[in-house]
Amino acid sequence: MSTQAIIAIGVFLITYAFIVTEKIHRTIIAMAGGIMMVLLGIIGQEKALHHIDFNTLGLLTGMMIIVAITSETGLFKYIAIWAAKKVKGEPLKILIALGILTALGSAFLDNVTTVLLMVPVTFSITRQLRVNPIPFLITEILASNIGGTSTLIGDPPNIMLGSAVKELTFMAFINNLTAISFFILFVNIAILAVIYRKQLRTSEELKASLMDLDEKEEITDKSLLVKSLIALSFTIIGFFLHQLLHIESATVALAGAFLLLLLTGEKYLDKAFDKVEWTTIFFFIGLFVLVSGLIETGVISLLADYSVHLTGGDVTSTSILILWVSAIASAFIDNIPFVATMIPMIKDMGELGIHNLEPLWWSLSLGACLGGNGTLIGASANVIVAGLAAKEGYSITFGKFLLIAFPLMILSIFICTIYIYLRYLI
Amino acid sequence: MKVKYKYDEKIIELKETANGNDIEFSIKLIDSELKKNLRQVRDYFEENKILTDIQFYIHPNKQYQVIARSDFYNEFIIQLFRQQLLKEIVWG
Repeated sequence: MSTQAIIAIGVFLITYAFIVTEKIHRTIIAMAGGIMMVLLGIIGQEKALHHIDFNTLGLLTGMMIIVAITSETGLFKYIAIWAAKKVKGEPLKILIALGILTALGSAFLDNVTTVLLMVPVTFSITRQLRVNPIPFLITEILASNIGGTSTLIGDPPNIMLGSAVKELTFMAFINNLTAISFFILFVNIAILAVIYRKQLRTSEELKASLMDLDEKEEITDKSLLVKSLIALSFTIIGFFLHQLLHIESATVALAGAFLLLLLTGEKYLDKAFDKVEWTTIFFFIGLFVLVSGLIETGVISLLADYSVHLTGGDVTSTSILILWVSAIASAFIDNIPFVATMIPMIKDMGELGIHNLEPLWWSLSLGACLGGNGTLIGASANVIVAGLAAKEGYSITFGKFLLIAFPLMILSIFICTIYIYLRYLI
Repeated sequence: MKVKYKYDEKIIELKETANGNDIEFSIKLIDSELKKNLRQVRDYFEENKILTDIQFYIHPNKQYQVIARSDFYNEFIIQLFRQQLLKEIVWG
């Protein structure tokens, strides 16, 4: 191993350690790590820029702009109240409905955005029914990570996979992950409904009050709503057709975002750009450069070589290993840097003799996305919901969450193991 | 110290009931023009980062239900006054 490779590993491990400890903001650390790779001469600036995946960044930015403007219309509150009324204000059924809504939202929006939209509505509904919001919040955390697994645009690991591997199109994700994700969602929600059923009781009077709500009044700007729905529809249709049209998913998302800005005019421009999470965008940039140091110095190839030796190059054991290692790792560390490291490694495995990489990609996606449900620090959505709940006086502790979520995550990965084996490996 | 208030019964009807740590208001706007004033009050509380301070529920016929956390009671009353939904406020 060359000196440069050893330095690259050192920079990578120190950066990773700081990301895990969360003492300094992850964006600062990732950018500092990426810059160190360039400053120490591990990788040149031109090559570093070449490794930044602008498709991932464009897709995230485009969707953030669309959601920022659409959330101004009151649409999300309208949908939540409409759903609560559809199930007659019954708390247990509302838990199921909000869980499904969160999963559907997360399938098309980023998970953090979805929970940021769902949590205020959840507090509003549970307050009116005078029921404990914690079962709803835990269900929404799990549903957001499961729903995000189901599409190319649902969760950052999938966005990165779709961007890095040409064959993994929007439709490929729908065909391979949507059904299994929603099956896992229903299993999870059913178990949560059984666990929480006794806490979810309210009076007939409070249910009647919820049923009397006028959800149409929640729509604050009808003209903006129409424009948002037009842009959102075009964007979603674009995702379904992007392979057919030979355009990248980032082009679809950015076209949708700027179509919406064209329709709304510049009064929403500043507001929309203010709501783009630039810290997340720069976190990705830092990571891409950081991992590029490992790629260019041959470290990733060595790791791939070692993994292939470990499994004897057998696609079945390699897939199962990737699924479980991704899940356990993602329960404790950020799945974005993990996937950023795994993508080039799996590509290298292809060059080392594993010809059928498809089960490996789906194993990585399922493991990395669903693994985030294992602990309270497993995914950004978990941390955000717990933080919001704590601020309002409702504590979701690490232990309390672990007790419920970890077994559910293990069960989900067990279901995935059977799915991967039956669908791709026999 | 709680704020006491008076309102014009020709434009608004307001009832409050204590409910544990919350105070629940039932508001009926007689003058439809005041809808946007009440919306301003709602926007004020939705723009801060506290989710459970004041919650608004819209019922048909310009009827509103508001659940206020007791520590935000005064602020809510002050905002109603600021938007001219109350005639008078005094420290009680």
